[in-house]
Formats: sequence, C-alpha cells, structure tokens
Amino acid sequence: MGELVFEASGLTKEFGEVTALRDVSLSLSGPSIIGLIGRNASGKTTLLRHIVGLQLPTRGQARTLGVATRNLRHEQLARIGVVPDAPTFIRWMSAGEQLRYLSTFYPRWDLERQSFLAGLLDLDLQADISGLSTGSAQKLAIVAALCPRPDLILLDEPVSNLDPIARDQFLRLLLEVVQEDHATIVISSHVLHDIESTVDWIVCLNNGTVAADAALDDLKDQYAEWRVLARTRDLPDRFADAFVVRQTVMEPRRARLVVRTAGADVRAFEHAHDADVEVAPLNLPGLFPILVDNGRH
Amino acid sequence: MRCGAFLHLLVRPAGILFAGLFMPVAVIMLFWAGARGPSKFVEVAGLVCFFVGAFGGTTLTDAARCSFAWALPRYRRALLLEFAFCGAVIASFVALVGAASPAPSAPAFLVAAVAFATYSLGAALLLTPGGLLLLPVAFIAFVAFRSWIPAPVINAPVTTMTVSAAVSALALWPAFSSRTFRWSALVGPREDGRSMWNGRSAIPWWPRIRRGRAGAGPQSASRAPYVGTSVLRGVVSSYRPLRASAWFRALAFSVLYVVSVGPNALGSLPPKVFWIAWAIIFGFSAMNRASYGHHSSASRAMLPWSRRHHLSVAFARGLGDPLALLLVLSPALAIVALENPQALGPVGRGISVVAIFFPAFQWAAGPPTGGRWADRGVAMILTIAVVLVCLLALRLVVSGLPVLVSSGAAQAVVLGLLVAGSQALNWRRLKGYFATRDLVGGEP
Amino acid sequence: MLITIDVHSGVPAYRQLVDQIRIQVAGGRLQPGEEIPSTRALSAELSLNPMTISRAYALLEEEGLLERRPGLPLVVRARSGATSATARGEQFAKALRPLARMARQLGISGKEASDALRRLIDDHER
Repeated sequence: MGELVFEASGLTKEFGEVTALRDVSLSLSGPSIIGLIGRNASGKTTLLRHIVGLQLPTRGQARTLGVATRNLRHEQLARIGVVPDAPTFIRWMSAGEQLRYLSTFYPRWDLERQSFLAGLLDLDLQADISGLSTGSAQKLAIVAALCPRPDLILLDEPVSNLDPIARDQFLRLLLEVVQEDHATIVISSHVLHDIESTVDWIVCLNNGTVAADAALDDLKDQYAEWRVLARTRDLPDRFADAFVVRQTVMEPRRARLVVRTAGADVRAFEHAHDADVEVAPLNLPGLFPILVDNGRH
Repeated sequence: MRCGAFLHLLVRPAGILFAGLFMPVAVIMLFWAGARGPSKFVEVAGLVCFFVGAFGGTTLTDAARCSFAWALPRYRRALLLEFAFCGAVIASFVALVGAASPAPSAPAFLVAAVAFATYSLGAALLLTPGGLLLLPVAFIAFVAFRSWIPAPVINAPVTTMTVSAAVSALALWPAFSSRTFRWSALVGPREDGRSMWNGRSAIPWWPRIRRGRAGAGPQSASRAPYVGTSVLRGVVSSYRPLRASAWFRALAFSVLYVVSVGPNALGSLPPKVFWIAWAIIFGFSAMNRASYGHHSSASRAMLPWSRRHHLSVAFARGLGDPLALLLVLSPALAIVALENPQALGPVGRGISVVAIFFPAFQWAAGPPTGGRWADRGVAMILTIAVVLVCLLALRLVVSGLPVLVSSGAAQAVVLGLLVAGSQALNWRRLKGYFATRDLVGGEP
Repeated sequence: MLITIDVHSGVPAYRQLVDQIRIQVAGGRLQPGEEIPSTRALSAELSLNPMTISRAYALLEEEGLLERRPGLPLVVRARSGATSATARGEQFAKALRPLARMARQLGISGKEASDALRRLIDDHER
C-alpha cells in the first residue's frame, strides 16, 4: 500500500567497538504513522539518522525515497522533515528569522501553516533562540520540519519536552498532517501511551536489531494475557506449552501468562490443567517488555 | 582534590603531543634568540611562555566545562597554586636557557619575571570566558610594542619586573575566579574541537542588541533564493549566519594591526609584508573557518543539501582564504612593484607559500564532518605545528627557491603549480570526508 | 454516530470501531441508508489514526455492512430483517460469554442467571 519511503537491507552500523545497528532489514511505506520504539541505546536515533543520510552504514544498504542514502540530493532532502532529539539552531537569530532563513532552502514553504503552527504550539517568533527553553526549541524544530510540507517526517523524541496540552495538540496535528499531505511520519518515543494513540505501524528495535515490524493492531492480536485460576487441583510450576511466552505470578492456584495467540487453544488448556482462563488483551506498554525480550532471545 | 590534579590534566594525548612537538622547537628558538641578543631573547621567551600558558588555559577550560566542582574555592586555590608553581618552573627553565647561552643575556630574574607574566596572560586569555576576543588585541599590543619601543625591558629591570608582577596578578586573579569556572561549567562540554572564537554563548558581558524588526510574518514572502545546487548561492547562504559584527571585528582588527605596525611598515619589506598578510588573514580566515565550523554542524543537520553540495561549499569557502589573501594584498604588491621591484620576488614567494599552506591550516582545525579531533588541545597544537612548518617553508622558499629556479617566470609557474596542487589535495581530502563519513555525531 | 474508542485497552482500535458500528447497526441506531462520517471527520473527532478507520471501514464494507458509493461517503447497507436479527443475536452472545464464565466461577446455575438477567431487563423497561 502506498509509496515505499525507506528500505534497509543488512544495515549494520559500528562506531568503533560499539555496534549500534546489527543487520537491520526493514521497509517503511506510507502514508502512515510509524512508531519507532525500543529501549535506550537500541539504535533508534541511529536509524533515523541513516534514513536522512546523516550517517552512512558500515555494511549493508539503505535507500530513502528510492535513492541510496549517500546519494541523497536536494530533490529528496527537500521532501524530508526532521525533528532531531537535540535541535541545533543559529543561536543569535530569533525564531522567526531562523524560520525565514530555513525557508530560503525549500521550494515550497507554507507560510500559513507556519503561523498556524506557531499559534497552535504557542511559540513566540520574536524570541531569541539562545533564550528558548528546551520545550520551545523543540516546538520550533517541529514548526521548521512541518512547514515545507514534507512527504517524510522523522521525529526523534519530539514530545518528551512538551507539556501535556502541547503534546496532545501536537499528536492531533500529526493526524491532520498525515491526511492533508499523505505524509509518512516516523516517530520515535519512549512515551508509549502517546505513541499508542497515534500510530498504526510499530517498528521495535532491541540492541540494534529489529524485534518487531508490524501493524500495531496485528501486534495486539498476536499476544494475549491469560489469567489462570485453578479449579480443583494445583497448577504446575511451569507451563511447558510452546505458546506460553512469559509467566508471572506463579502460585499454586493462580497464574498470569503471556501467550502467543497463534496456536493457543484456550479450551484445550482449560481442560488439560483443569483451570479457568480469562483472556485479556495487551496494550502497547504491556507488549513492550515482551517484544524486547523476544528480541533478546 | 588530589595533589597534582593540574599535572594529571596535562598528561593526556594533547599534553604529550604539545610537550613532544612544541618544547624542542621552543628550546631551539630560545637558543637562536639568545644568540641574537638579550632583548630578542626576552621577546621570544615571552612568546613561548605565552603559548605554554595558553595551552594550560585551554586544558583548564576543558576541565572546567565538565564539572561545577572546580568552582569551589578550595579547588580553585589549589589549582591556582599548582598552575603558578608550573609557571615558576617554566620561567626558571627559560631563564636558565638564557643564562646558558654564550652571548651576553638579560638578567635571569628579569627573564623569569617576563616569562611568568606572559604565561599568566596566555592562561588568562584562554581561561576567562570571552577572553579569546582579547587575543587579537594582545597580538596587536605585542606587535606595537616591538615596533615602537625597541629595548626598554633590559634597560629598566626593576620597572619591568614590577610591571610583570602586576600583570601576572591581574591576569591570574580573574582567570581563576569562581565566575570563570561557574560560567564554563554552565556552558557545558564542547562538542567540537575549535579553539577560536567561542561565540556569544561564552561571553556573559557581550551586550545584546535588541533588534527592532519583527520576525517572519505572513507578509514576508519566502522566495527560496537558495534552492538548488548552485555552489555560489550555497557559499553566500553559509555566510548568512555570520553576524555583521564579526565582519566588523575582523576589519577593525586588521586596520588596527596595520596602524600599529606603523612607520616601520614599508621599511624592510619581506618580513613586514608577511606579518601584515598574516594578520589580515588571521583575522578573516579564522573567523571564516570558525563561523563555518560553528554553523556547519547545525547546517549539516538542518539544511536539505546533498553531500556533494556540502563538499562544494566547504571547498569554495576554503578556497576563499587564499583568494582573499591575494585580493587584499594586491594593492600592496602593486606598490612594491612600483617602488622596489627587487623586493617583488621575495614578497611574491612569501605570499605564495602562505597560500599553499592554507589547506594545512584547514586540516589542522579538524574534519569538516561530524566528529572533531578528540581534544580541543590537539587542534591547537596541530595549528601551532603547521605555523612552525609554514615559517620554515617560508624561509626556505623565499631565500632558497631562486637558487634552484632562476627565472622569475619559472618561479611563478612552480609556485602556481604548488598552490593548485595544495588545493587539489584539499579537494581530495574534503571529498573523502564527505563521501564516507557521518555528517553528525559519532555516538549511537 | 456515538463511538467511544479506548486506544489503550489492548483491543485493537479498528476492531473496537468495527464492533461498535456492528452493534449500532444491529440495534437500529444506524439506519440503512444513513451516512457514515468520513475517515477524516472521524479521525478528528476521536483523535484516531486514519489508517485504523480506513481498515475498519474496509472490513465492514467487505462484510457487507457498509456500502460504497462513487464520490460519496459510505452508507449503511440495507439488510433484510433476518440478517439483522442474526447480527443482534451474535452481538449479544459475545457479551454473554464473560458473564457465563463468571457465573461458572461463582457457582451460579443457568436458571438463577437467566432469572437475574430477566429481572434486570424487565426492571429497566419499567
């Protein structure tokens, strides 16, 4: 469905002895909102930098908008908007001047959107950049990234420094943008709660490898939580069934399991262990530890 | 704080490189100066100690940027004592070298006092926030001193020593004040390795000029003049982040320098022309490189330029230095050609050597892509090394080339080829960087 | 169309949407021929990802619950009385399953359970 915006095959990135990305192969297509999740130092920022060509792979290939990342030209780069985790600006300029300077490099810069966003995010365009708080700097970076109406938007922890109201407005804004511009948005964040409400596709990185690359809805369908209550006899110490991924709360009469729904038959299980099973779905914060654990094994 | 913390800071790759590279050269220079007479010796000793003090100041600044702990009075006092002790050792060493030289020399205490004063001054300029801005002023003062007042230091030892002591105290007191360390800690560790032009963030007292005009509003249309692959537009746009005041500063510095060199300017031409050119280019190209360096890490991340375009702009800006040198010096060259045609040869050779060495300075300043030389001190040392090699080459070429190649035209051809060759090497170096390196960061 | 989606519940959002629309159609709150809000409008109203909404709508269209007209918003398809009765029955059966399990755990018999249910429904009617 839609356009292939990024494709990596066997992408490996080493910084000296540290391997940030290990044999990553994935493809991102849009329009879509893609959530890039993972623990700290799992390679999220590195991957985002590879998408826009700021870093080059040690081995493997990466192609963005159909072009190898080392050959990205202005035609492609003008279609990509980036909000880095630590935005850098020219310190002596005011926010408005910085935006005007940036606008001179893009063939289409939406001034209406600029004033709309500045109003929405409550950003003072007259303020000096050196005097901006981290949250305001992030807001400015968001405005700068969205005004050229890009087809691909990369956001690295964009909401971590925003207050709850700004965060909410920003997430709604992303939904608008993806529909108006048919853009693909890749948003990397720790705040799973916010990601869950906005994204439709999840890419989970763990220690530099891809632990999950699927639609969020499909991921939610793949796993479930079973609350097991013994009826008559005690439960075994360990459930040997193949579909059991994790066991917590192991008591003689109670257990909580996380299972893979494919191949998990509730009735057969209830019958085999003489227990009642209550099946509950897992949301993203509940799925996250499973995904990163899976990656490790 | 452990005893010897300052020495511990010095024992790093940068410090070892400094000791290995600079010290032997310094000793040679001191011996050479000692043979030339006492006032020359004092001058060179002062210069050498200035650089040593500056290196110490750099080291301390880097340390101070990493922790608030240095702002505590206890640590500051200990640091000051250790620093002064090192200074005393170096000053005594220099005085000993002076005493050891066969020619009659200045009194040892005089030399030691002056050396200590310049050592403190060097440290103060590098340590105090915003002190770097006074570096050009110090340079001008030095040159003015040399041109206008020939040899006062030797004739009035007591005055000189008193003045030196006063200067040392005046320099060290604010340099090691808590404000210095607090401010450095506030600014935080430096991501790049540049040692020039701290930029506004390190100058707490720089007045902020309120700009009257509004920021971008709906009425200012964006005509996108810098869209596309034009290198010229790219270069012009990369100067936009440079403030007007920076240009003004560089110009003012150059003018002041020429004025302070004064009546001796056209006296004995070749060395003076070299110093003038050096000053002008020091002012403009350091600013040029610093602005590009400071801006470029932001620009690489925020501008939609292809790597090829970044490469072209970086090369074009680098090429601007030798071109600016020729442009700025062409009136002087014309005057020399008219008044003293004999001097045209040596002057032309000298300028060519400087032009050939520009890419070396750009190399020493650090790679243009992400990931600087690990240590700010390393950039400084490499720059000093290149300066020394350049001076040596200058001597060799200006005096030695006519021996090998007699005709003026042939010399021009050889030097022209060398200039083109150095630019070609520079292009290859930059191309390698931009084709294979990460543009930002080095950390995952 | 009154829809509540809890994106944090663990149940995929598109399925919640599909279920709620099914219930509304089965219960008659969405009449045949009535227009469904566009993806964009619903996305703005619920702060929901438009892909989720498109997926739900596509699924309902495949099932035959919704009908696409060229150039116009989706509408509820007219269905026979028999199919809607089956649909209602299915929805209700789904809601009963957890109830049945609870009854088993509490040891309540089928008859007690149905009596309790009848009382509740009748009381509400009055």
